[in-house]
Amino acid sequence: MADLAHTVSLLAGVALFRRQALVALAGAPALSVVCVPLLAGLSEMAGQSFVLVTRRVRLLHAIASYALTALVHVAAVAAWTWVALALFQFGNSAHTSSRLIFGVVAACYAPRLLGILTIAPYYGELLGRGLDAWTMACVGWGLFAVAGLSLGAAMLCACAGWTANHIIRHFGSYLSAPIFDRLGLIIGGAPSV
Amino acid sequence: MFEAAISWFLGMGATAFFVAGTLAPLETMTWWAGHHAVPRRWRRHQGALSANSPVHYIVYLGGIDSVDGRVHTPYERPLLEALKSKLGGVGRIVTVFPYAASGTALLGGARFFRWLWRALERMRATRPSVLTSLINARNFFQLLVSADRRYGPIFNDALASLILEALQDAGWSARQPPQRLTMIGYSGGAQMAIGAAAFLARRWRGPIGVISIGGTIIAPAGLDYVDRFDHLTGDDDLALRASVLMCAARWPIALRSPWRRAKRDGRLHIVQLGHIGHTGAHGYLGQATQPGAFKSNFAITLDATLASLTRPLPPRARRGRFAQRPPNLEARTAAEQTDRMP
Repeated sequence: MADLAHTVSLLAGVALFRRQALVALAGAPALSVVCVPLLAGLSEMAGQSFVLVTRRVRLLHAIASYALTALVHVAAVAAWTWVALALFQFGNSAHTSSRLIFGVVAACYAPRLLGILTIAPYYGELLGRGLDAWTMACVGWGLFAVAGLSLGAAMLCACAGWTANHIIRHFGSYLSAPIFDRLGLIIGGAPSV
Repeated sequence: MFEAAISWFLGMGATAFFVAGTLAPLETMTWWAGHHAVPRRWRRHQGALSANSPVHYIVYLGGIDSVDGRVHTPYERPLLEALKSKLGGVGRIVTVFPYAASGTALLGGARFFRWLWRALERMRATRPSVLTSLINARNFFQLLVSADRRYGPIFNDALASLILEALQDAGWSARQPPQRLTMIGYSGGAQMAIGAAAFLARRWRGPIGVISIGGTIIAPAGLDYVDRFDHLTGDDDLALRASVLMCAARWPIALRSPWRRAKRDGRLHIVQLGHIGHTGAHGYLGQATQPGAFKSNFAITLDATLASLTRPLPPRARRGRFAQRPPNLEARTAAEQTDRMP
């Protein structure tokens, strides 16, 4: 129980731009830090569960859709890390650990844990966009505070990673739609949903 | 101490708002998923043809303080009675509870919180307090569901079916010649009427009009399917102003919004009633009299409503998604839509 409270306080700390919380979370074992985007994916899918209901998806397919959305979020973190790292190394000769950047990006998915709130009517979609912007700001700040980039460069890395992430998800969603449609699976947050 | 109390209240308020928002679409989704006990199917071929059928059907959708389609607030009751007596046999008025996709009123049916709504309704009748505004809050979130881009189509389709069912019970039949339909929406009821209009337009062959009495319109997309929209407004109505702020489609910059389109086409008419508030004695249905006026607010609203009801409507125009479709295709779409309904 104490561990759970500590984890929640760390996640809240990251979302509120507290450096110590980010350092602690980003430096945690990879399996622990990967739980943040996994849970964020589950939360986002819960926020978009109306799609499952309107399409009358069966329970097993719904569970698989939740799992798939969680995995897509981890893949998105990996893509974001890769782009940020590429830009980081392009502008800096100093070597930076990809593990650290991955940890920062994954931990900065903390605001997306509130993705379930996008289920709310009328303002839910706006809230989703707000969470998106909050996550991007968190990643930019995280790269600045932990990885030692200048603020401008960190924001550039964050923006580029965010854009690449969205482009990959956008086209990936359309390309994979026929397969997932046939399997009866749905990915939360995909543009085709 | 004071700051801590303020923070606690704000925190609790925000939590309650988000929790209520999260739970609001569940009823609609449950209904759609087919888990709801109430079976619903629009009976296309039922209803008797009668020579005495009225030429004008009127549907009344109450404000967000409604608890039931048959139990009206003390402010609404005189309006409905006055309309019935003034219209006589020309129009037939039906009332629908618009704040539930299932059509189940708050006071009846198999509702988990029925006991709460009943207690609040009793409290409202005897000793109104802040607690009784929970009914308004509950219905407000259903209003947001109707206005939502994701849940709205399901909710509004369900509401359109409820309205058609009520009309069938009142004697309407799909086999009758096209007749006029007017929905009168008070406050949030106007938004519900506009939401349902898009789905009613598929099945109703006559012209469709909407009269909004202080309507809080936050999603005007359904206006594309309305042949005439009379918006009765009061200068002191803060809820009306808040709804304009909430709805970007009603801002002056939204040049191509359904609201602006309806204005351009001459289908939207704003009727200013003077210094009238939203609710209470100084509201649209209140008995207060404006300074310098000879009539009560209620009489002014009633006269404006009757004027709108008796004004002739243009024949049904094809608009929106059905503008380019031949009639047989539209009929097929309506049939498909009906078959799809649980």
